[in-house]
Amino acid sequence: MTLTRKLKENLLNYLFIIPCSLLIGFVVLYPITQGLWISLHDWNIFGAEPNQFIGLGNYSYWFVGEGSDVFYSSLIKTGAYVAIVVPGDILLAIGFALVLNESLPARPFWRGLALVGYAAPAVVGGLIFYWMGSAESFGVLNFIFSNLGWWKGTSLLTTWPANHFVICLSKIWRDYGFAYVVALAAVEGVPKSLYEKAKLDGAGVLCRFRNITLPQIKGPLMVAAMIRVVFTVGMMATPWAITEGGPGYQTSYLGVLTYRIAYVDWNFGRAMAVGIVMAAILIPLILYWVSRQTRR
Amino acid sequence: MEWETQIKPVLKYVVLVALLILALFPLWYAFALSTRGGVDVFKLGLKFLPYIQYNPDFSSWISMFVDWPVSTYFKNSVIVSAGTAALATLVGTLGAYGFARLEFPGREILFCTNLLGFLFPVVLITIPAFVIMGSLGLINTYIGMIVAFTCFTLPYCIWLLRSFFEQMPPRLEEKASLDGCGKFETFFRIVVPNALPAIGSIFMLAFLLAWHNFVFANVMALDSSRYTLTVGLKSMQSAIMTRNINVLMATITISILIPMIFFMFMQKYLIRGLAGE
Repeated sequence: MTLTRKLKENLLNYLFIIPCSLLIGFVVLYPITQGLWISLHDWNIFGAEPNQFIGLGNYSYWFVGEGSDVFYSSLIKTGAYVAIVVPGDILLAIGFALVLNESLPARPFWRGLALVGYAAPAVVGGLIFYWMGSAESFGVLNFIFSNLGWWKGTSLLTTWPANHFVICLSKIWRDYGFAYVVALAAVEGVPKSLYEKAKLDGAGVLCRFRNITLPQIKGPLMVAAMIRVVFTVGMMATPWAITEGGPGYQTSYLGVLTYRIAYVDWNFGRAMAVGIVMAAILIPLILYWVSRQTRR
Repeated sequence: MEWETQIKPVLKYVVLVALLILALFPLWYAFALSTRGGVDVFKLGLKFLPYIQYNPDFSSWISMFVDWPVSTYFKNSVIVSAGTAALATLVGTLGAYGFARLEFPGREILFCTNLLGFLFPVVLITIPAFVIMGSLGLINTYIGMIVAFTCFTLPYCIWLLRSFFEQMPPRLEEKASLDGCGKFETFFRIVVPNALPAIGSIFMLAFLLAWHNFVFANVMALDSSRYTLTVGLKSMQSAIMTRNINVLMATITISILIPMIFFMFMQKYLIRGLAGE
């Protein structure tokens, strides 16, 4: 009796989560399994010939075959990309959060204004920096770099590592907003009384930052940094808008490479294989974040 | 010099102004280039102050709607983003409430599964989705785009709304169930009306997420009749002669200003939402 009642109640509760779970199943889980399947094929998207099962052929193409030069260089460049973008994000975010936590006239306005990059679509962040780095008369980054003597040449965008640097700047500008809101919430959460006490004890400003602010905001910022790593590797709109992964494969980070192989070369099998390798690298971070969200 | 009384009050403004100039310059750059007409685009070089350094020409702001299909891009972006946000908040509110308040076996594992799409690289999902949507004949359709876009908006909605529902005091629901309301009745009559501000701001966030997306929109739209603003901008970039760069820049400026206005008016809610609290 009680068993059937319990069952009935469970069924009723499931009704709440069935619609979203079905939708997620259809738009996330099913595509992922389908993608694994595609990666084992010489996939013919236009359907002229049947798709041929080639086992791990697409993976061996990237790891040991003809694609290995492109793949390993993409892997290294992705590392170089993350290594600049994520620390850049976090530092800028801390700077903004600290200043905007001070008492200022019209503070909500400035707080909103600091989100400007985040308001821009990722592709737009790329487009603006494309023209800034271009060799046109209004290519302001090009102008600054050549006047500082860091750069001799026509366009920043055609040579490694100048193009990499422009992409990183653009990505930081567009994306620091996420870490900034996290940092702002964290800085606001630090109890004021801690600072008062430290002041009475004669602690200087740097000492207070290092011993009070930093330990309190470190946790949330580490999580934010982790999310930023995942998004920096996986998203391709900003670098794509600037160089389309070129010249050659110079700026084809893993996300860009996946996109490019899929929709420029229309080779879904190979694209899926390189994409799955990318996902495999990111999966520990993704699962760590997801498991943090549960209650037990 | 005393830090508290002399250095800090000045320094905070210096740092704020410096940071804001850095942050706002790219937007200003786009706006300034949009106000250079014709050959001025090149001639003016590094002059970015309209009225002060040169006479602005706002013809690009009309030209983008008259000579370029920007209004179509806008329409598509609004339809797809609103549709996605509506679907994601509708299904997401129901799901998030279930995950926050109700007990059933496998709840946490199902919740984790639902969140997976938030961080999973979207570009990877587009490839099989293109095949699946293709076989259903949904490529280049609004419905296809709206359904596809929920793969990254729905997890976000569920995640934010669940933490919102968990923080909501359970008193009202308890009272309703004592009054004999069923679960669904309680949900629709009591919970949803009380949660409307939160649901509204999460609708906005989902809208922005969809509005900003490039990769899925680009894959799903085959011709310019279905291009969203982001896809349209990229195609303008390829089609444009440098002479017309003012039109591109005008479009870029609006594409930033619209979300910016959202941010300004809903700053408190949105910042909380973006921070994931």
